[in-house]
Amino acid sequence: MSENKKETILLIEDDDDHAEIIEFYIQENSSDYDIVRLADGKLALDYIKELQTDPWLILLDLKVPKFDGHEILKYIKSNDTIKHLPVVVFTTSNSDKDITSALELGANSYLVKPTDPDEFLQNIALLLAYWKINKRSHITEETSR
Amino acid sequence: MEEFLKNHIKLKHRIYLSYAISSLFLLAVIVISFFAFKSTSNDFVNFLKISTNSQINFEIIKNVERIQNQVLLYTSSDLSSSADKVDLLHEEVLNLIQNSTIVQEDRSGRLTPMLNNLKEYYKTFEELKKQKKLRDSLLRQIRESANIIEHSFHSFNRKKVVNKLIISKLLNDFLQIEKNAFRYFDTLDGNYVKNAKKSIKNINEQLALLQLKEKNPLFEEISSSILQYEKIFLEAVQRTRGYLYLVNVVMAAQAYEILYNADKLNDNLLNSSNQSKKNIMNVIKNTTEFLPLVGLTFLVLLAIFSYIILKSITSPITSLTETFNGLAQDENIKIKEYKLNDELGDLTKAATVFKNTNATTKELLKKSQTLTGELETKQMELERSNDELEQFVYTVSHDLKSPLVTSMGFIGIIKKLAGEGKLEEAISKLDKVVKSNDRMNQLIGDLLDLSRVGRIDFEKKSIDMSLLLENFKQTQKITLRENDITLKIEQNLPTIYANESRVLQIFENLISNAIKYAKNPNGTILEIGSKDEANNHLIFCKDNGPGISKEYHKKIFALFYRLDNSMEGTGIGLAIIQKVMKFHGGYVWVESQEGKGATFWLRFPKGKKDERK
Repeated sequence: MSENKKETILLIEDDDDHAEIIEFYIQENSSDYDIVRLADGKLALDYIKELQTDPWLILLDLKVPKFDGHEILKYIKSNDTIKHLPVVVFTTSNSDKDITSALELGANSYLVKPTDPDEFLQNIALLLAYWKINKRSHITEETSR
Repeated sequence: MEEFLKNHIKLKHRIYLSYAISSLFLLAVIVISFFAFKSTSNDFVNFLKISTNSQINFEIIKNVERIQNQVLLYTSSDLSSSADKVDLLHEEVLNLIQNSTIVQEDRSGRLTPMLNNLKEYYKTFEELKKQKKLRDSLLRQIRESANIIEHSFHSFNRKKVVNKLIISKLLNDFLQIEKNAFRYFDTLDGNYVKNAKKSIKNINEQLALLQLKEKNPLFEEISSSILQYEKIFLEAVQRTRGYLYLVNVVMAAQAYEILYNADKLNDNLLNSSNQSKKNIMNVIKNTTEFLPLVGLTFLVLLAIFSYIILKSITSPITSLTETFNGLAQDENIKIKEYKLNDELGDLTKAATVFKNTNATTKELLKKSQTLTGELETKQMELERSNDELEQFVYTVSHDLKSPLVTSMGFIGIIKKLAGEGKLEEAISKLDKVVKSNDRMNQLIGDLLDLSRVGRIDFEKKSIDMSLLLENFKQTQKITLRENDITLKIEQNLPTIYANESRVLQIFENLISNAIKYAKNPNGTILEIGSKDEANNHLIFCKDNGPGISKEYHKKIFALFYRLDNSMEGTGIGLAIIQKVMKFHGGYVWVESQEGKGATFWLRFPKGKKDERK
């Protein structure tokens, strides 16, 4: 795995401190990931619209300035070329309304801040594993064509 | 007239009145017609009577003429049947006069003399008959006497007389006398009487001569017979003349008298008849001219009366119908007054009651609607308040959690780093925890402040804004200088009725915001001014910063909302301004375009208190 090119994780988070904490835990757990942090909704959407390579995971805070996290989620999951990307909503809100709407829009996981770092990492790892299988079959399909 | 009827006579009586008036007019026409016909019929009966009488009169005249004719016939022709006819006709005339109604009706007094004349006439006729009988007997005597004389002359022929020739001549003369006598009775010519008398005198002279000559007593006998004859003849002549006088003078005069009276009577009758005729014609003429005119006049009057009465009945009904229609359509119409206590009066009263009930119902409905509206508004307010509260709780919990997450996160990192022996690194992270806790503290403090708006510092007073803001400018001197902000305050700002410390808080927050978001590299300029509205005082704070995009004009007033999270602050300042303005019954809004600065407007309603000032 270490020979492989590093996987990218998209971190959409306005709070610098929160971003720092998340980055710390991910980097501490594994050095396989490149983290791209986007501080507001507008930056995030602009970035996603011009994706060169697929990120392995998108970590999305719902409360970001300029464009709401819901709108970003909606854009990703309604766009055929990127809707397969796993999105983990990671936010302070634990209201039923937010959880339901996020899952309905197609979020792959919903985590409420603050969370136990191990639980957080486990969740991400699980998603990544699932994603890798999916991606491989996706590539095989493309090459067999 | 119509008004009088409406105001003084009840509906039922008005209908009766119309019947009564119609009947009255009909009765009047009938009565007039009746009297017209009655008068005509009287005149007509009169006319008929007169005509009958006239006919009777003619009958009388005719019969009198017939009588006269029969009398003349009787006198001239010796017909006894004529006398009978005279009797009969006389009877008839008497009957006609006595049995006819003329006697009673006769006002001219012609009939009584006529009757008397007739009686006289008939008496004379009786006399005439007597005279005629007498004359007839005399005539018979004359004939007998003549026979005797003729016989005497014939007896001379049987005896051998001296001179037969003379005797024959005498006989002849005698026969001549006889002839003259009868001629007289036939013609009644007096000359024959003269001739007879002359011949008789002549015969007697000759007989006297013969007596002297022959002395025959027979001559003397004949002579006396002839004298006798002459005597009878003269008497007969006398009688004849007598009754001729009766017939020709007395009876003719009487007949004439009768006819004259009859004629006069006829004239009278004719006059009466003409009068009657004239009357009838007048009545007919008047009736034919007058009746249609009267009828027409009555008809017109009847039509007018009927129209007025009908109008007096229908117009209130129509008006009432209109009233009820109006009431049914819920119009607030005026009910026309109706004075009488009849059926329509009751209906009018009912309309008034109906209207009042309607009005009451309407009022109740209005009240109920108002109450429902108020209730709905209240409920909506409550719901909104509930939503706001929910939103508030949600936002507060979410935003309060954020520093907690930071704090917990860094504590975890510190633990990890400490566990790994990276103590220096761990200690460096402690500052983060402190900062996040400070922030938490600030958030809670601001929230507390927000919650105090309207609860604490609620006393209001009149504030001279110019004075207040000049003092404010002094207190903010250092802050303004440090941030390179020029604050310009307009002269003659209004005096508003508000809570002073809250108003000051508004401007503190606005300056704090301007420091964070309205930076102009060439120097920030803030202008505070005012604008007058009819019911409000408008105060504005204008900056020359980068401006705010339109989509954030409302969002920026929301709790914890920040345009830039990298900036210091809790995102509560504008929310506090909004709540303060709401507490003063006004509100705050922003007008801005990107690159052209922003203007915050504060609207304070003009209260009674600052009007007083």
